[in-house]
Amino acid sequence: MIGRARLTSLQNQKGFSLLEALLVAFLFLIVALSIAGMINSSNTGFDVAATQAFVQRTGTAVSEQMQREFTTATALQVTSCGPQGAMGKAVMYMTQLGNTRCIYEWTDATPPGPQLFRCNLAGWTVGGSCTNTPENLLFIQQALNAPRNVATQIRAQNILFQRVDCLPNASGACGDPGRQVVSPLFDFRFDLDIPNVTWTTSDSFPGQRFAASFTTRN
Amino acid sequence: MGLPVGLRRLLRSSNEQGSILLITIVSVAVVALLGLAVYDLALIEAQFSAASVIDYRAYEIAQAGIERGIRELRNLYMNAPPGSESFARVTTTCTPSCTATGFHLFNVPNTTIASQSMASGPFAGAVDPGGTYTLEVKFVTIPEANNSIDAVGSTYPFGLECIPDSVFQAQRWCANLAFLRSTGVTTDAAGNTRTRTIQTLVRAASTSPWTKGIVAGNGNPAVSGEVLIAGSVEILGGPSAAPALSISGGSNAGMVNNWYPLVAGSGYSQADQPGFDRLTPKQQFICPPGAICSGGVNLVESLGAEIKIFGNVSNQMVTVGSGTSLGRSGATSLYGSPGRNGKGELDGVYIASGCSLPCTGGSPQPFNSGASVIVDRGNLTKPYPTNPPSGPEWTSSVPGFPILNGIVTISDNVSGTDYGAYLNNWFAPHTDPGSGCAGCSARIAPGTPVNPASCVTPSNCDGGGLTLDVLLNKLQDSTPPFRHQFVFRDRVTGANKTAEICWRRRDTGSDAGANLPTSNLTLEFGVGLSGCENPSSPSNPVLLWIPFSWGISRSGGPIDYDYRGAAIIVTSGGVQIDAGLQTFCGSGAPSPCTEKFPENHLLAIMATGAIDLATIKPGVSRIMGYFFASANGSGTAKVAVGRDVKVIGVLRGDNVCFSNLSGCSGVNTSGGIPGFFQASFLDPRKTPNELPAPYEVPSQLSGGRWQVISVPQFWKECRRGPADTLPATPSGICGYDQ
Repeated sequence: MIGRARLTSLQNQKGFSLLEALLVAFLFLIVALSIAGMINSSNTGFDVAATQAFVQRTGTAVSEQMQREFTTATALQVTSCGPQGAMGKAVMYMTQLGNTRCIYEWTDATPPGPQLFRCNLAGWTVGGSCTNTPENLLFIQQALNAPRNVATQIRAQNILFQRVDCLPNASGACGDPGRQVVSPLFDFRFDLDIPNVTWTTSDSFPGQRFAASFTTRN
Repeated sequence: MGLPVGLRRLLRSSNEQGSILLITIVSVAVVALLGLAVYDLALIEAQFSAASVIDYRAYEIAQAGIERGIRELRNLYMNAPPGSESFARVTTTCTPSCTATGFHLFNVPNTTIASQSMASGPFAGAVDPGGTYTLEVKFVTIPEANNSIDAVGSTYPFGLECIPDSVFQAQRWCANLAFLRSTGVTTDAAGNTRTRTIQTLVRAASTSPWTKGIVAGNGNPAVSGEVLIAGSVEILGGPSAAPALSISGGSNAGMVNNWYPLVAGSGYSQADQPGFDRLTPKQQFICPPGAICSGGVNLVESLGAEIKIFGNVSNQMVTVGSGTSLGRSGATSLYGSPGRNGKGELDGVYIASGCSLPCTGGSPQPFNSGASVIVDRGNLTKPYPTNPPSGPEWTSSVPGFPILNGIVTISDNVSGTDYGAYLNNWFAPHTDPGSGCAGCSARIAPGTPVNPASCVTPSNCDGGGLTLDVLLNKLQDSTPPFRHQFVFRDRVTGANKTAEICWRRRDTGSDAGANLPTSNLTLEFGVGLSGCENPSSPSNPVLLWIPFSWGISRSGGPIDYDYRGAAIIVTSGGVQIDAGLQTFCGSGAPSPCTEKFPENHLLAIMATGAIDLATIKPGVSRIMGYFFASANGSGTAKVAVGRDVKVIGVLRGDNVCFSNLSGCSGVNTSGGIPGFFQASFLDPRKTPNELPAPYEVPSQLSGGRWQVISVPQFWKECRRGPADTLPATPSGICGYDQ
């Protein structure tokens, strides 16, 4: 009786053991998937943080470079120049030695989309064509340690150069005496974005927004 | 045989617990690793951010140093007696030596900006570490200023004419130009240190209207008519100005930046060689923007012509007539002695808030459609440089366009004194016994007889017994000769000084005296007991107050009157001049003249009424002088210039109108297009201190006669890396040719 009982007991244990193994495997799978999800989320979070940091650095670097160039410029003009014919999408400026340059929004033939370019112009005239190969201001910041391949995917959107005619009063009127500016002044805004890497289209605006006012000391 | 039940249970239990533990450990490790990575990324970002902030702080500290340095240079310049202002006076503060040709330390106290923390707000508790700046100065030699390409083999944005320093003549330094460098250094709490350097060229420029061309106040327009203007036009403008400047007349009108049109054979209808011969050639020819002047080629003579209009941003500020051009393309042909070329382009255009290219097309653009404006680098877009406006278009003491009775600071060559009203508080007490000038007789009241004290035979010089108001209103060919002695108070000594005004002295017979002028029809001003035999100079001019309207008008056909000496005349009323009025050319009337305008002879007329120049009689050749019409704030005083004439000197008034039908209620339109030619002192420090200039800062020595500012196009940041040292000259990483 005792031997039968033991056998029955062993048989029961083997049955439970299989069931338990399946259960363990199932639970392990769930846990593993959860961990994988967590790792993936963490990895994505890391990528997001790194990419966001890259975008931030790039935007700051672009803004600082523009500040350096515009501060020493002897003339600034929000107008069409280079290949860009739309108003508010380009700014023309004159260097200390009288060379004219243009910074403008432009979309190259290949993705990722609109970007910021700089080129030289023949003279201080509206709509002048570039006389050299334009430089991509976003790409020339690649020394900034871009993660993965995002440096080639960054794009600038919602670019707006806007001349400030005067310092308006509360009613917004510009014609009152004493409100004119004393050196060329314009507002500049742009968004930097890396499509499908960082943000979704449901965001209120894509990427990070940068804005500054520029004037000249010359 | 199987394992004992207890052991199996234990193992089973152990396996289950071990898996979970292992999984947990691995998971925690992975998450921790990623967390650390993100944290590390955040740290890197924080370091980037801190470096960026400290970098920007260093930049702002360097900028603060530049502003401080400009102020210190300004103080040095302004604290000098009139006529000897110079940056090169930094003899007590530069180390190691002021004779250095490169930058040297400019020692000023208190160059540390203290650390401070935010007391409140969202960033309360944040600490600004402060920092320090170091200033350096480099004096500029005259050749370097004029043509840096030749002088130092470097390239500056353009050449500048400068005032030669009178002390350091051997070094040939400019008194009013100096390079200034400021290096800002700051270190944050994390130990990040940043250094940035800014460099600029500082210039002291006179704000006196007497160093400009045409200076006008409010008006609609303030300057108008058919005219050729050689020199600057500066207009205050106002809310209703539309436009402030209106010029027409075709190819013989507009604006130029040289005296070439005066030269015989220039092709301009204003050609006037006698007028040109009386002007002092510029001593320095400069390399204009965009030119390569290596070997001394392409240097030009420039009048520094600019258009400056504070104006408004609602209306079109400038109307340029068809076929008329403001500025010319390229340099002129060779002219004068020494032979030189005149600069074609205007130096600059500064209007209201600036404009968007093409800047033409009517309101709100500053120029009308089709306007031709030729300016350095084609840049029409610049705004008027100060807000509120500054001198000479504006004085803060009125406030508004300066008036004859405005507040001024006048120096006795030692220190400056403020006077609340130029005419009432300074000029009258220096001329009128009724205004506190005891013993003076420089105010010629109506009915005043001639005082022929210099003549042995009074009837030779008493103007035929006529009173001075009759003789002077109007002075003609037939006006009897006279020598009138009077007394005014000297600006420098404060003592009374004897002076004399003479007309047709050659015709006074035995009382003509020595040192006679070449022409009978000469109006003379002299000082001392010898009177007109000792012509007064612009550094020591005669003061005369004529409290009634007066004028000069030829009797018959066109003829030129000469004047000799220097006089500053205030007139209560209008002035009408309808005869050629030119400076004495020198004994024997050599050609070109050995005595010049305004360096040797100067007539400055300030009237509380209108000043009309050649508005009645045709064929007036030239009128040379400085003219200021001021209604003293009650109404508008105009300067009107008629046809044919060439006005050489300075014009200043509420309105300045040339031949046209509408401006100033119309000015004579028959005859040739008139010309205006700016003739300032070569050394603006020599401009008579007796002439009122805008007043800007109370108790400021020398008044606001000098504006010390960074020269446009010379402001730059040196591109220094962490291991770079600054070059001794504006070259390399601090060069302008990059």
